[in-house]
Amino acid sequence: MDKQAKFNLGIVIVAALMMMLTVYFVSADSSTATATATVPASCGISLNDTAPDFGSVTAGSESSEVIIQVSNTGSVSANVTIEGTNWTDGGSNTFAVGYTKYALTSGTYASKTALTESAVQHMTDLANGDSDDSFLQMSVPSGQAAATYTQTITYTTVC
Amino acid sequence: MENRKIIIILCILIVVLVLPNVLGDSGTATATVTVPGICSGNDTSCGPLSGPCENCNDYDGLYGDNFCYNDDVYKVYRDYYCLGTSCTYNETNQLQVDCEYSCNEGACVYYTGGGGVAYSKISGLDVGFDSLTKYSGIVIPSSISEISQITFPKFPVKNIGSQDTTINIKFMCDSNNKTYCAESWCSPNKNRFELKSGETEEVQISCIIPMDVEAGKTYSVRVYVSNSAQDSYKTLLKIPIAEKEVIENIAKQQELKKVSTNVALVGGGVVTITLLSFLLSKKLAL
Repeated sequence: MDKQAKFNLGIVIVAALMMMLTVYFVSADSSTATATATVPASCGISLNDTAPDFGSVTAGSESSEVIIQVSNTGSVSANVTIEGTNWTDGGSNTFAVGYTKYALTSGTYASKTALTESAVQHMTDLANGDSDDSFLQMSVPSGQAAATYTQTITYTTVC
Repeated sequence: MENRKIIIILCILIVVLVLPNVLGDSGTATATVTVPGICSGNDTSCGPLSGPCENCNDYDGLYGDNFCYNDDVYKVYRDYYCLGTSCTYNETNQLQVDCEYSCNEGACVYYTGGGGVAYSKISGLDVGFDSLTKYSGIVIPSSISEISQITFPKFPVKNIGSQDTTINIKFMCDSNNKTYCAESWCSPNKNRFELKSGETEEVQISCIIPMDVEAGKTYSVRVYVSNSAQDSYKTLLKIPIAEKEVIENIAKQQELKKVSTNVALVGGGVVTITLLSFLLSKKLAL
């Protein structure tokens, strides 16, 4: 094997390794075991309240604020996104996700940002080990049928 | 050699740029809110959660006809309350008339006795009138001041005397010891009726207020009971006669030709006795 052939073989081997690495890491994106097993930097999040209760809110009126404390339990700083689902009573009664609003500071319902079904950045560079408050508030549409409604709100760290 | 560097740089870029963006962690919170209904679900605000609401207490009250229970007159009282999203009720029997003697078909039976005990038994009629006027809504005037006719509520009379006793019962209206039935009142088979032992008869009295009532006196309605042994009466009602209208009544009596006393036997036909007034008006006197 001449020198050039050895070099080409080396190129092929490196390329193959690179592809393997790439495939390996790509497949790790969707595996819950990948990050902790192979990546030293970890992302983590915890919420101090996973069942916030807005109480009783009559149709056409606003709730009071509910605060969820979001903690970055990972090893690096992270951005935090927020998203939600429509409100539902488990049956046919629903109302839109956007009736819930969020903010990083306390304020009026009108001053907050409407929640959406797609993830939107909510907190920026939340240092690992730090926490920040997410101020939530919701309103009930006028004429909304009486019932108990639930909504899932998801906070995700991106690091 | 140069290619190796490129490959290493690419690998580093993959690790540095791609890998971090696919890492992440998420936490979910399930929020809850309760949207209350318009109706609160209690007695005063009952109905579907989305309304309309009603006040169940508005329906509280007496329902149905009078009925007899324990020899007294009762009526059903419904106490409405909210159950779920609609009003429902509990029923209780509510005493309407505490009968002195007994009850028959939702009304007190006021016994009159034969066999020599008529007077003592007839006292029940006083209670009868009080009860009937109180619970039937008929208002007995507190005074009489003008010519008018008073029709009293119906009430049953029963002969609870011993077997084979028969009593005669009659009613009359009088004032100041003057009776207005005069001779006709006492006529057989007129304003009186006969009850055999165990029989019940409903009666209704209607009296014409006479012209010559004297102010300060009373106008009375009496019932007389007689049998072979006794002839007694009981005053059912006394109404005072007011002063101020007497003069007007004297003027009116000029046009009065006669007064009537009616005794209606319910179910047994109506006996009307027309009585010629023993009173003479000025016009007639002249």
